[in-house]
Amino acid sequence: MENSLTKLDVKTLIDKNMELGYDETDAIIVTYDDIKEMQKGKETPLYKYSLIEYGTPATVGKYFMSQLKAIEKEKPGFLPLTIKKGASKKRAKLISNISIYTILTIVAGIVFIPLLILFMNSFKEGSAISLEPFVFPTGDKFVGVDNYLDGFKKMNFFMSLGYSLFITVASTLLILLFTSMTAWFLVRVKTIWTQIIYYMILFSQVVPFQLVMLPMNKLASIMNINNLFGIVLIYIAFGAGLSVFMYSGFVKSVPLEIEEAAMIDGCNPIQTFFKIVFPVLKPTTVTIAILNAMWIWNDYLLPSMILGTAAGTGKTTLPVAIQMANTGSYGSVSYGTFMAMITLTLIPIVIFYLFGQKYIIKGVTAGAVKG
Amino acid sequence: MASIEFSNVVKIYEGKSKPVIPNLNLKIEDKEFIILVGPSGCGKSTTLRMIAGLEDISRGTLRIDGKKVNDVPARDRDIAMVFQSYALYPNMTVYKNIAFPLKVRKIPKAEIEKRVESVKALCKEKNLSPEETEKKVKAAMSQKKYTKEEIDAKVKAVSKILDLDTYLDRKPGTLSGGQRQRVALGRAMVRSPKIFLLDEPLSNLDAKLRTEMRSQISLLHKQLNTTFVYVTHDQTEAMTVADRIVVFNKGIVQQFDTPRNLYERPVNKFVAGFIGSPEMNFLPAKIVSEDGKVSVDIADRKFDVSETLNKKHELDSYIGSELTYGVRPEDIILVTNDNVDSLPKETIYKVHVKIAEFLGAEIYLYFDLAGVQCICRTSAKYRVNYGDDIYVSLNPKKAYIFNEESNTIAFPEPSSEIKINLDI
Repeated sequence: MENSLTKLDVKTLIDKNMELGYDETDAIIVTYDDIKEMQKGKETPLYKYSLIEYGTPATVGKYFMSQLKAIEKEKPGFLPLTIKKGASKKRAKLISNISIYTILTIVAGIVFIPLLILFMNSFKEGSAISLEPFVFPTGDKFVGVDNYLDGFKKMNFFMSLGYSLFITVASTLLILLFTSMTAWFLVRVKTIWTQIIYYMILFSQVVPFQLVMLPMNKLASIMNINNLFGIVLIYIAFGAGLSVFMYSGFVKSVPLEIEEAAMIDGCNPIQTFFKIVFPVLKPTTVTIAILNAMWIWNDYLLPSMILGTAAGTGKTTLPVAIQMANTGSYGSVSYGTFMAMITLTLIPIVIFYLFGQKYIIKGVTAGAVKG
Repeated sequence: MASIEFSNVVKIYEGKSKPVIPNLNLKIEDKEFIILVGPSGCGKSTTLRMIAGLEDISRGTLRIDGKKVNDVPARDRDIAMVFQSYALYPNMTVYKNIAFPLKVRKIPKAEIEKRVESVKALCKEKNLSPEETEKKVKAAMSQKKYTKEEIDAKVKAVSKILDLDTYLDRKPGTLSGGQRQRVALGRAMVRSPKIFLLDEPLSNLDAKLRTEMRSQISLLHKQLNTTFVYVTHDQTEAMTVADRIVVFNKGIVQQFDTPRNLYERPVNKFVAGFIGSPEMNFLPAKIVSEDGKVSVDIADRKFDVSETLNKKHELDSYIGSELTYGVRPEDIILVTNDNVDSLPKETIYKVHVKIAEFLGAEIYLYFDLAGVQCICRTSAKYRVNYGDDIYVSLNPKKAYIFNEESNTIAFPEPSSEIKINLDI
């Protein structure tokens, strides 16, 4: 190798470095040119860098370091202290990583255990669930998919699944469409009225559901919206507050210029929104979709009030239908089928979450940075 | 054809009582390269945005090609605009960004007519039957949007001119400032608009790229042969590329003229100070008359300006009054061994150099003269350092004189043409 550095050169460099008043704890990073000049015997400046301050040195510096380490192997104690310190820093980082991962694993476990118990017990015989809920199903306590088949017999699972899917998908899509447009308008058109509407929408979030629950129920029956399509409207109303708020934060960070550019390029306001603004809002859209879909899918109270609790017909959402089908007279509960049906109910929403979760953090923080 | 005409245009922003633009009258001719220049907040960007249709006009009329466009939305004005922040669509690739204006737009009527004509001509050439000709003409007339192939051909052509071929699949986020700028230009060019608007397009680029892009934009104007309106606060940019420059201050047009005229015969003190770098020095002066000779008195030195200035007779009416004397930095003469004998002693000042900026070929010297900080720009062949005492004089042939209302009452003889015909 033409540019290879002999041991002597390195030693000279270190000595020279110390002559210049720098101590051993300062690592030297030199370029090939410096080394060449050194070999010619000319005076060259040596640069003093602290490795800890500057992190990994440049490629040339790395080469030089590898040479230094080779010498360290032969002559222990030759290497300046800082280089060793750098190594210990790496170790410290590794240790902190390990501890972080340990804590995260524990937290994940805490979250995961109930789901595991649910899954385990869905394969257990009924009495075993109440007697030993934390034990794996073995022997005659293991009933295979009997609980699942039982559940399908007891309730119209697929009808309820259809209801749940329709309500969740329709509500979420309409919330996304309406709230994104609302937020865009409220942010871009600044009048006293848009301000008032914005604050009213914000205020709707602080009103607890229990407060409006009964009047709303009454109103829904008067207005004849206590049915499959009506409940979608009610979900839009309840979902709008948070969604408009989150969209507004993000719309503020969308530069006005790109909308003006779109207008000049030939878009009318509707085209500007759907071709330019809405695609830019994508991360927030995914976040809002997940938050709303999870809440609507899992909601029990609203469908039980609006759609009624007619057991067996399945004309309600899954949470309500499962509850109704598996609760007998005098509060008896058939836990086996209960667990089995809940396990099935979880699957779609978990899949949806896993697909969209990488956008959540992006979407939540996006609006906050610039506002 | 695209002339732009403002008549008595007023712009007042909502909720404000004071107009940003009190009364604007301006006529921009077809195919001109116009630069709007002025300090920040002077209304130049507002003017541009009014042309674009992004800003309402409070009063008055704006005409493009003689047609009133006050209420025509931006998308129907057939203009293109390049923004300071480039305003590229972040969710689209470079290709889609450039193709976007073609995709959303219908083919303009004029172009359809042109197409019909060319189809007719083609049919005639091929000797097609009248039915077939009619069929083809109808097809050409019914085509409302650009086809994919047409868009592709146009985008490819534009990207070739701007040297963007290799970046077409990239998103704007991965491009450098200069490349983004070129994409923004490409998006504007692809539609061949009537008017090109550029809002400080170079201010986000580094100095080297700025010079490069400046000449590219100038070249583009010559190629496209359309009206360009360009906003900047950098007077070097304005001087180098414009056909004519509009100098704004506080919403009022100070002067609308060619770069050379702005420099040589500014109408007032503001224009004189704004155009030229470093800016003109303004010294307090008094017009005096001795033995029938009118001269200017600056800090007890008298300069005879009567011979060289035009409008010299007007000076007579100002005898005895306090005026402002303007002198460009290059017209403050540094007294050196070479010229000390040719300068009358009564016109020399002794000054103390506060700052000396060495620029290679030239040197800028800062000192106080007549109670005002002055800049002298001189050749760097003379070695002057910070703290030196030097001697300077003023070149009376290059004097500007402004009255109390800051209007120019006298300026030097303008530049002259070279009339040499050598037999070599």
